[in-house]
Amino acid sequence: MNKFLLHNKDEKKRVVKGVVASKGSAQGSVRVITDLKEVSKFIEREVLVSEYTNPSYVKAMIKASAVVTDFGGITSHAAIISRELGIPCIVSAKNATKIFKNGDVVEVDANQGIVSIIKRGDE
Amino acid sequence: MKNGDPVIENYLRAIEKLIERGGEKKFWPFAPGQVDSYFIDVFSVNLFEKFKRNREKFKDAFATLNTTVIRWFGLPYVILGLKLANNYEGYCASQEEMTDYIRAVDEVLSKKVYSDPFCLDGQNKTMLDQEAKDKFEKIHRFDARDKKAINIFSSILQSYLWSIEFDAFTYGASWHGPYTVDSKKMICKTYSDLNAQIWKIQNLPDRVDIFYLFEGDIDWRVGLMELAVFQPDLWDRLDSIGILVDNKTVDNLDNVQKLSEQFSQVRDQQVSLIDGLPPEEIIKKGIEIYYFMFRNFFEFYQESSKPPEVCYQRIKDDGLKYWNAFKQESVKELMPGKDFFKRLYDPSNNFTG
Repeated sequence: MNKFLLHNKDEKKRVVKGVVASKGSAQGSVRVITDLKEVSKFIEREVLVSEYTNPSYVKAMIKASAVVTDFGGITSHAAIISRELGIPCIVSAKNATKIFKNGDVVEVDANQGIVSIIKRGDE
Repeated sequence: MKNGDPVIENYLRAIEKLIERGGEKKFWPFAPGQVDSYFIDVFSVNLFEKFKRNREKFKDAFATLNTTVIRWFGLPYVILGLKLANNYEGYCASQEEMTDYIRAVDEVLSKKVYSDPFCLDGQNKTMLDQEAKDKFEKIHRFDARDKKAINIFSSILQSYLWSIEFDAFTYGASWHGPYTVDSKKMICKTYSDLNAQIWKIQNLPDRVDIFYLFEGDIDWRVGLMELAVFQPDLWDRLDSIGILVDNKTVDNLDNVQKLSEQFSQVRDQQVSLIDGLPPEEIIKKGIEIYYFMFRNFFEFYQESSKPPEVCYQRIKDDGLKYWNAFKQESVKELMPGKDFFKRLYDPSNNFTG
């Protein structure tokens, strides 16, 4: 089976666009965080993907190589903290938390506002 | 009323610029409107009556506040509160009076800063260059290579503030500058009111100032809420960093790390505590935080900064009416665009959303 023929429409997508909140680029393995309890699982240099961030997500952000959020503008938590940490950040990336799965290897191009999957975690 | 007044035009332009930069947003633990609806009219009328009684005394009292509080919480929020009081409480703040209120606030800001009062020039200079230089010279300088630990510390302080002041009312973080120090540029981030009395948090430092000195020109801009926008390549030109904790210089990274741990720990306790609070308690805390940020102003009038009983009574009478009405169901629904917010905070109309 063609590896791109996935059942879910969102899962077929390999590229997500959003708004650049902090420029730069990075590659890394995705960690989707939708629950605060998962913050402690975050590993150094992973790419943090979340709907948005609340104050406790900073623990993961300081380890992240890049941050991608479904929501938020350039004055959102994620944007403010990413700029201070000097890491790439893309906000308003719509369904990023649905499209990316834990273990996907992605390239975050926060100069263009594009996140692309290099390798699916299950491929 | 026609807004031909340059001060009002600048005020509205600053709001427009701020919203332009804002974009979609998801708030924690409540969205705008969910808490302010319970008190902002009462609060605004209180301030406005003082203003009408004695304009000069009001200005002196307002000058005791920090610029973040004045620019955002003492300006557009108050105009909206007055419009709400006009529309729903039978109050009568005229457009001319509200315009004069904005002018008075502009006069206060003009004496407190050495840059545009509404940050239209992207700057927020709360000190003269010479004062900034003198201050920085007395501080221990960390090498640019130490920036990671210091930037983590700063991020932790920022997130800590969100956990004690909530997103909507974060007033304790302020970027200021840029200052010219010799041929270099210096910017500063100040965190204040860290010892959160509202939450009975004690034994933490109350104020931290972080000074960053850069080589050459920097692309760094602040808006009306004193949030800075810059790109990470800014850090490549970092020359050195200085830190003051409660006005005392910090001279080793171990202390920075210890402070980071302390603030992280309290922040996480706060997030757990707040996530477990019923909405009524969050509303109460929100109101108390708002009044507390104006405590110096109230003290100037020898008044308490405790919210008036009517605010608590509203929570009892109206229950979760406003909390539910402004609940953030969809991010897109909540961001109607810059024209909406410009109208909302414009004293020349009755629009309240």
